[in-house]
Amino acid sequence: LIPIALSWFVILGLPAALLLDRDAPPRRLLGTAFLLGTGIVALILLAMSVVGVEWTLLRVTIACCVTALALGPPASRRLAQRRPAAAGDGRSETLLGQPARTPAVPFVVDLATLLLIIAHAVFATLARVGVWDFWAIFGFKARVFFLRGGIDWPFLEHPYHAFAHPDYPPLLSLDYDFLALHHGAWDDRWLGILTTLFAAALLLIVRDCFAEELPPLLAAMATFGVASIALTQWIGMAEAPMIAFGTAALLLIRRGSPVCGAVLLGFAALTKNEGLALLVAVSIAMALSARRKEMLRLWPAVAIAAPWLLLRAVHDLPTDLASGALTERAAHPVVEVLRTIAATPPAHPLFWIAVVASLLLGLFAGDRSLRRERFLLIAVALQLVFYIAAYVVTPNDLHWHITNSWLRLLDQMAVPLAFMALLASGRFFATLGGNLWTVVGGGGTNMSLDSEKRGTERIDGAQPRKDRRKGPTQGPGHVPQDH
Amino acid sequence: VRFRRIVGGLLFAAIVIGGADLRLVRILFADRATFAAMLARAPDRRTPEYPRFLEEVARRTQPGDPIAVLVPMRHWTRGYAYAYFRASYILAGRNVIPLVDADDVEHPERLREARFVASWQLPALPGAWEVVWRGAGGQLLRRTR
Repeated sequence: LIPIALSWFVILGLPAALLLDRDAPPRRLLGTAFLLGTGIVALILLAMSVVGVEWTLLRVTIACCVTALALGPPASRRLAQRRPAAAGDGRSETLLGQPARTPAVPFVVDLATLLLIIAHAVFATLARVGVWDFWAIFGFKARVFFLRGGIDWPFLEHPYHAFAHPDYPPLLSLDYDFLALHHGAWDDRWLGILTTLFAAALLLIVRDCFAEELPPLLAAMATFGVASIALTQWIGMAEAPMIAFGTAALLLIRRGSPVCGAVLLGFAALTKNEGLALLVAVSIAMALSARRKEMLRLWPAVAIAAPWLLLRAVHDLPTDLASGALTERAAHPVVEVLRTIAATPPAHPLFWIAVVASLLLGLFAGDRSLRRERFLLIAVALQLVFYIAAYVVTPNDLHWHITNSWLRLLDQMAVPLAFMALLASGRFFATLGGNLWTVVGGGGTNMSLDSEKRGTERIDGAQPRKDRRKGPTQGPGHVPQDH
Repeated sequence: VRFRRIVGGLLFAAIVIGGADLRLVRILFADRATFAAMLARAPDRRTPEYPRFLEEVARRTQPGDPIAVLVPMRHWTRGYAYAYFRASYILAGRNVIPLVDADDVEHPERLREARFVASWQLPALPGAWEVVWRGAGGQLLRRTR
């Protein structure tokens, strides 16, 4: 029944995605639906535990049906209001006004990305999930909750189980329980598939965000380039959902879908404590990037994160970073932290060198296009500062803590950083090809919308058409479409 | 301007090539059975018998049973944490009791909380304990009084 459980994620998420991001093209809609579905399932199981209803497959299925029925009618109304162009892939007509044709070369690159996803799924399900953090934290708690038929508060409160980080937000563990309920028993043989599916959902969203900014071929290549980062090697851990929720939230808020982004941000906060930090980082970034008015639209993120914060306070669940006096914990000088981080090189050196160089190119060379990415830049920079601050106050051995977590934390921000870097370098690259990208890639891109606003030439070399401004695939300057 | 465009192209390609981890694809053509066996052994590569021992303990105990974990490793970070965490996962539902804490302090007094002792690669405990089962490098002991 595990495929049925996975289907529930989409069934529950699809109406929510339609409500929050009505005009999303199919790819983004599907990716968002899966992510929202996993979050909704976690909220259902959490709510059942709080009100004391024991989890059984029947009860959970009824709860899912009720939720789907509640979301269905308003979602179907939204579906009726959906703009016709959005029903396609958003690029049914190119910016040159040519009829759409199937872009063969980007399709081949997309197939290569799909091959990576399939290979990752094989890797993730080859054997029982065996990473330490799975059987000591996320999988362990899920297994205990499954056997108990709900969140086991006395278990979380017991000092013997402090090693399992009882304070960690429960989304991933609850999703594992959802799969286990459908399977009828705890079996960690197939749970790794969730790691792949979180990444696949994110890649669908990323692919669409790139398509709004770059010519189709470059968009496909850029997605292929970040696929291996999203398809994390940390099978069974909370990195995959954290990367997926966090990155999707950042990209959707950036493109002008703050409410859908905020809901995903809330689920990031329900996945890892870093998600809570990201919520703060996003709020500050909005305040500093002339989007103060939109800050109030982040309320869903707070509403989703708040119940767990309240529950963990009520049950007095310990947080290791907050244990002891701050003055005692702030024992690691920032320089020492940075030095230890520098001694922990990332896995893909060429990737990171090129990302940093591209960001510098985008910030300081040419049209300084990255300056338009102020929100994303500030949010990611603040999140990295928060990570460093956590190391400064860690009660653990600094070297141990950094070597065991830094690369995972870096991966959480790798896709947004690569996204900005690929936009910066891709915009220069695209102008080099002239009509080449139109010929091999099968059409234009909304990147030209930004060019139009700046009065500069379009990347495909054609003259801008004013009437295309209301096209379906709007760029980051587009009016928010949340409702 | 053309130079910047070329640099942009090179950087774009470097990110895509540098980020793509094609080792993943090799798994589709590799001997997956061998790789799967290697992955399955990975968490317990130094103590391959230990998980089998714990599974036998799980088979002979009930949810809620208090079980102390007794292993030769006495330092938290040098083996006891692994032994305790692994036992907690495989014996989930039971009350697994650690006899060493994170500061490497031993707590023999916690044996009083236990009805069973999962003793691995150690001789039988003297006194009020009977052997329920022996195998996979260890023994399951039950309190007699």
